[in-house]
Amino acid sequence: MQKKDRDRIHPTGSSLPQDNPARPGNKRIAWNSLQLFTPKTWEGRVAAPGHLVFEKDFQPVVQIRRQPSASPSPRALDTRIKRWALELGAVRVADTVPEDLQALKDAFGRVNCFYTAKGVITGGVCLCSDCRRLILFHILATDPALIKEVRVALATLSCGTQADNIWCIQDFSLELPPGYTLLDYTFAAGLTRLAFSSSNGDHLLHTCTLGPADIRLQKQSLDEILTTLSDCPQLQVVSGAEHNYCEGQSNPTIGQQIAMRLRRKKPFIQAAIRHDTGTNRLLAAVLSAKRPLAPRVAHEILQHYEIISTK
Amino acid sequence: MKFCNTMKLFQRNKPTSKEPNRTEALAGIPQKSPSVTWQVLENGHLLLEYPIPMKPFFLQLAKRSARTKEQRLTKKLQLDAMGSKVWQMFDGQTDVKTIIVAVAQQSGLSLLESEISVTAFLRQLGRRGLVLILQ
Repeated sequence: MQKKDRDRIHPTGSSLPQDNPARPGNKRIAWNSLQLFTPKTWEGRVAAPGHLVFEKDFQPVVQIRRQPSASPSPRALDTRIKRWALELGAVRVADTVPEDLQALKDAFGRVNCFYTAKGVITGGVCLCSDCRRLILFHILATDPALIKEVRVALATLSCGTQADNIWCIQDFSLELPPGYTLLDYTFAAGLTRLAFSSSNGDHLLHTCTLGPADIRLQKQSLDEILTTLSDCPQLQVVSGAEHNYCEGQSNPTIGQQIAMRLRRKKPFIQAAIRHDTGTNRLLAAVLSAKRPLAPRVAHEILQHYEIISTK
Repeated sequence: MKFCNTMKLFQRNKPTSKEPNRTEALAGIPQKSPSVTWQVLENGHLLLEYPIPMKPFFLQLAKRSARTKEQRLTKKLQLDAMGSKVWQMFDGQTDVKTIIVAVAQQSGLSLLESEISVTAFLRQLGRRGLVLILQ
């Protein structure tokens, strides 16, 4: 079954038709091939690289997990599904989905819903027929109005396409070229860091947001912060015309390359940093590689990295 | 059966300290410890002063070796701007959840960042005995 293509949508969804899930009041969530639209009152938290938990008013409402690709054996898959249903306390697994979740059936090839003894959906499994990804969702809300909100959000769930490499959660949105996979992440107070590796392992990309920017800039200038983030004292930094942007590149000698390779570091570094005055954040991208990098790659990546308002 | 009963006699009764879960922790109401005094500095930050808990033996040693006749030993802690604002919110009526939301709104941080910083701040103050959490 062909998957419906999702249109490219502006993160805030401000000028979109009413039947589009990205209308005002909703925000886009994209994390490691999990994509959906949730109300702005929800807070999405990353519990694991393929595990998201959504909360409203600090109460968990739904969690979504991406499982490793399904085994080709239907029997093994059925066994896994039944095991998950038992973990969720479900007594019945059904192939049919309710009408409000019919969009899930269109997006995925196979959807199984888990029901409690009272006939309430407690969770389910979606299997993408194209990429064989398994997505497990577990409804944690108990309030009927909230469950309805959850089901509306779940109807927008998809696993993205191969070309999509969008990361949109909390208050940032990042779009990467295809081929970068998530290595590590940090969500701390005033710091959000993501680390990616290219498909061939040659490039290592770190992106981060730092806040509050005004306090940080009181202690260090923008180019000093960039040099610190890139961990490269030899970084040749060039400031932008407006003084809220700078980028840098390292051109190591052969001796320096060998020294860095001996320390298991990638010698060729490109970095860019931007001060977003509207949100008082610093956004930075640091790319390192074993071989010389194409010009301004870090700059291009930073162009697709922004803070989005969730209010 | 007799063996099981005998084994139970040798089992220690471990103290059951129930740690609050996240929901309970967020519903907690922080209150300033009565032994803490504070003053507002020129830059608007707060300087807290609190007694150091010491065992009586060491307290006697300190008194005998110290040249001053101060009855209690204290430590001082200066809070930054955000810490000072959060300290002022510890009024014995505002719960942790409300404080987190207020900090997020004032500082422009996301709720997650605000939660991390407020809970870390509470932990630091709690370790020093500066704040009590009422459930």
